[in-house]
Formats: sequence, structure tokens, C-alpha cells
Amino acid sequence: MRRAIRDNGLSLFFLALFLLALLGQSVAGYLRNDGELTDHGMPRIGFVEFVTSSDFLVDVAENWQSEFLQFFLFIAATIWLVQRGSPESKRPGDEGPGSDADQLVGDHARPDSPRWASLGGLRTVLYGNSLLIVMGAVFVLSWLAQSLAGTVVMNSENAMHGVPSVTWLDYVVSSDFWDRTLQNWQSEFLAVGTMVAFSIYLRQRGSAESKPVGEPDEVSSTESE
Amino acid sequence: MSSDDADARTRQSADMRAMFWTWAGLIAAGLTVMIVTPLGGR
Repeated sequence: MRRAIRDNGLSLFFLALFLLALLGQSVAGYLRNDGELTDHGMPRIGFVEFVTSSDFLVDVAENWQSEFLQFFLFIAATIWLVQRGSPESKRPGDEGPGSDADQLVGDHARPDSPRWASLGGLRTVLYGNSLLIVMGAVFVLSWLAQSLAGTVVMNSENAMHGVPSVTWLDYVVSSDFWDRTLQNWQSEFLAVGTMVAFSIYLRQRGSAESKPVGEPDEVSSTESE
Repeated sequence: MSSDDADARTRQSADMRAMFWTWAGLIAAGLTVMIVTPLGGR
């Protein structure tokens, strides 16, 4: 049991953080919503009703989509783009999807390689891009969820103010949708760009996200050496 | 490889699969709730 926790500590740590943060967001959001309903003299709603409402879910979805977009773009961009000196990047000259020998696919697969790496054909192509495909799918579905929940929220606010309701197509070209979307995107791109550039010259001893402390600044990914 | 090593590898593989499916299940459940709820007009 202790070994299992140690072997999977990174996943378990972030799972616990995620659940605590989501719980905290739901409680804080409920209290904010409850205050607004009281201020407007409207009937209060229960906690469960709040966390299964579009008012709460639109906030969750808009953050999910931006996080998955960040990883989707980072995975895709690091195939073809490099940053000399960054441990987040391959070495200049290594751009591209790599040879079958480098990637251990087809005839180059080892006995312990995943089965779909050795099969060849469509299954190997799909498996070879499966991380990007799944992260991209979660991004698109989260963004869709944000737009659907945002439409419901906008229409409930419109109803309160006697304004006609909008369709989903109206909402996805509205300033509210793009304000919610781009405020998240800009922070994700800032964080990724900063991480790539700062990790050229800065170090964190012991972290898999950093080069070894004594590694020269101009060395990119140690793994691809 | 001894049977103890084989057992340890089997346990490690099961733990890794459990981690993968925990996160995949969480994402799938979250996406389902976030898409179905607004479609129901809530």
C-alpha cells in the first residue's frame, strides 16, 4: 500500500488538490450566488441545486477548456518548434515527429512496447497521436460545455431584466463568451511561454521540469541528448 | 524474473491503470454533467 502511494504520488497529490479546489470553488460560488439572490429579493436555492446549475458549471467549464487547450497546443507545438536551452523542448534540429526507430514503432518496437506501437497501420498512427487527440477532444467538449452553460446563464439574466433570450449561435459570437474564453487563454499562454523561457536559465534541483542544476544553459531536453 | 518480481510488476501495472482510469472517469463524468445540465435548461 505504501509503495503504491509512493509510485503514484504525483497523480494522487493533484487528484487531492483538484477535489479540494473544486469543493472550495463550489462553496465560495454558492455563498456568492446566495448573497446575490438575497440582494435581489429572489428565492434562495440549495447547495446541490447550485452545483448542478449552469451558473456554477460555466465557471468550471471555462477553466477546463483553457487548461486542456494549453496542453493540447504545448504537445502539438513541441513536435515542430524548439526553444534552445529549455528542458521543455527538444534540441534544435530534432524538430518533427521522429523516425520509426527513434519512436520504437512498427518493426522497431521492443517486446515490451505497447501492442499498438508494433501493429503498424492506422492503429499505430492513432496510438502515436493519442495524447494529442484526447487532450484536443476534452478541450473542444469543455469549450462546448462553456458555451451551452453560458447561454443558459445569459438567458436567465435576460429574463430577469426583461430582455429577449438569445440562441446558442448568438451567444458564441457574444462579448460575454469571448471575454470568458480569452481571459483564460491569455493566462495559459503567458504561463507556458514563461516556463519555456525561464527554464533556460533557472533551475529547480530535483524537479523533472528542470534541467540538472549544473547543466549548461544552452542544453535543451536532456532526454533527447 | 522471479514470481515475486512478476507479482510486483502486475501490481504496479494495475495501480497505473487505476490512476489512468480514475482521471479519465473524472473527466468523462465532468464533461457529461457540464454538457447535459445546460441542455436540460438548468
